Amino acid sequence: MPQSTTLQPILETKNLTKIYNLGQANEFEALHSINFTARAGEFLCVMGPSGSGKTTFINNISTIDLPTKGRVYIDGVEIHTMSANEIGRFRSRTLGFVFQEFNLLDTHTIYENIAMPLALGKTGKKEAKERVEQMAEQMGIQEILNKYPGECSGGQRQRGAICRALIMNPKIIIADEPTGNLDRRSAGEFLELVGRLNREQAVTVIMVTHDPLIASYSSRLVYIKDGIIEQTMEKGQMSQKEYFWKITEINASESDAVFAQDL
Amino acid sequence: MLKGAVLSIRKDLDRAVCYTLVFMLSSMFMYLFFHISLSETVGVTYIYGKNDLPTFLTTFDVLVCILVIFMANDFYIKKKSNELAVILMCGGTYLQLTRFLIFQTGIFMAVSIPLGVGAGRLCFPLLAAVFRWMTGQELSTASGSQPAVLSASIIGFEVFWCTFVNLGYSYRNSIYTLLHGEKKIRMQFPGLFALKILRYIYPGLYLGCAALLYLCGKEPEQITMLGCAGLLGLWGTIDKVVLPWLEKGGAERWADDGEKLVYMGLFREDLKMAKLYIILFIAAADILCCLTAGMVEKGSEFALCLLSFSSMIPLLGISLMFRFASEAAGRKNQFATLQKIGYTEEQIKNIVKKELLWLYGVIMGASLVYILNIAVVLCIYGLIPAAAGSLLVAIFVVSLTVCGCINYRYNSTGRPG
Repeated sequence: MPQSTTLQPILETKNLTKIYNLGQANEFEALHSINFTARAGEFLCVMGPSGSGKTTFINNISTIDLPTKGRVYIDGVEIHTMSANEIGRFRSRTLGFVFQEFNLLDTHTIYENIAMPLALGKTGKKEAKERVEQMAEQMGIQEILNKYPGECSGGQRQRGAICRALIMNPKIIIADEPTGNLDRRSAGEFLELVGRLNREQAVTVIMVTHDPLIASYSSRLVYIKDGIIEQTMEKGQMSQKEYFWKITEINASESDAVFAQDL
Repeated sequence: MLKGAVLSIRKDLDRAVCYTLVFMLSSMFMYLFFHISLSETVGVTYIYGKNDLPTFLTTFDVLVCILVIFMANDFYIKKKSNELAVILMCGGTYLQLTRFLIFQTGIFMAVSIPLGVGAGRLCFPLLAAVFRWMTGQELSTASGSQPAVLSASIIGFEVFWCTFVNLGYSYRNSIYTLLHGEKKIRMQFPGLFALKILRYIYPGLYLGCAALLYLCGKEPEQITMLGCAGLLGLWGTIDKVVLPWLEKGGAERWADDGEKLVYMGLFREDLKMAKLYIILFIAAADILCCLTAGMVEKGSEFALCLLSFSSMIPLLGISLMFRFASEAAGRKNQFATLQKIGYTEEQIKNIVKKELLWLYGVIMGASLVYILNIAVVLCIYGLIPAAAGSLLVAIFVVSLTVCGCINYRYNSTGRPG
């Protein structure tokens, strides 16, 4: 992968602020004026303690939620200026989402769920069938294509959701704890697939995770705490092992602070 | 426990309102029909033990009301299974669960029964006026406490039975099943029944019986029998032909149309839920139309049949409407997911519209194959006048159309913003 410093910005935020229950007694500022840039082809990992604002951050940079203040630019376009329909088309073409809770439609089979973005993009029936089957084969879920999500295991459902997110070859993959319900092997396969897309097709990946091992596959770590980006760390020339230990240290510093208070 | 029961209702208020309204309307119709059957001018049938039309009509209508309540209750409790599982997981005993369920059912009954009886009392003068207009006879209020006693007995039976059924549901299912819902098991019949060709007997039976109405429909009893056979055909047609067709290869069939792929999948789920309602629509219409036949000369009986038809068909429509609205209330997450995939607001609006058009279109079409033909046959053989036949069909079409429109309006406002 080319060095991140030479890559073009694909996603930028300027003073991104998110306030919940604005003007009410329980008003809460979850994100405080965040400035952030993700470059095309980066594999970014977002980490931080529970309640730090990771999911809020990822939702706000990916059109799922709207910031209270500040601006978000994706591929040079300011999200706020788009109409609802434009955002829909933009999501379909540019973004692929993978969430821990799968977000599959229970009323539709796994095949139908995966084929949905293709149908939306008016891909021909034959091509759609080929692509769904190919993607299902890659994720090892060919045998459950005609099953409903309710008939599948958590891991199978997550793989179905991953297939749906990747089927349109999105420019950016947004993943919130995507491996949370997967066993080690399935998680490894997912990372392998995403890593390959990132390396070979320069797909930008922005992934929230709690797992330092999974984070060690990334090219940059963004550590969020109390609604601000506390620190970022480039993998650079570090080996995956060295990078993993650095990530573990950053996460452990949070625990150290708790133990220091106890003393 | 009482606090828990109240909280549980408040948490799921949309569904609770639908459930209460079904209870209320059923209670109202029960109260009204007991009044009619006990009215001195019309029947007084229970008092003198006559087994004539008003007695049969009242029994039939009360049975429909009970069935509607059971269906609503079954749906409600299945949606609440998660909560029951949590109570059991937290160490709750079945005695505590019984109390929780009794409190909940009791709250619904305490709200819906007085409202239903009150609405019934308010509607009675209107009903009497319609009856007077149709027959020239007075529909006097039943004397004594008999209507109230009978209504209370039936309603008491409902309370007991609903609680009993709900408790049985949580007792016979494991915590895991309660938490994750009942897994869909696709039934495979062995041997002869697995032969694919036999599936097509069902549409043959359904359409064949409708055609035979014209040949054998001289007697209302024959029409009823053909209607029953047709219902078996319809059940099999939906279960063995239509649903498998929608399930197998549906995705490939609609893979180039994003909206169709979604609304046909939603419609497929709706159809599984709606098939029982279609059967009930046809059964109720079949029986009531046949009862209406031959009663033209007997003014009050004829009027009662029409009144019964014009209350039971809308009640079934309303029950279907609430069931669908309640189902749709849980779809916000699905629509939010569709937005994440890239569906626009406009497309989701179209999906909602087309899903409803398919659902109500199929219910109306499948039911009209019988309701319309039965009305035409009865008219052809001179068993009812053409105006009455048209009225029966119109009541069905208008009721279902109004329910469909209300569902559409509710669904449109229920989409994620």
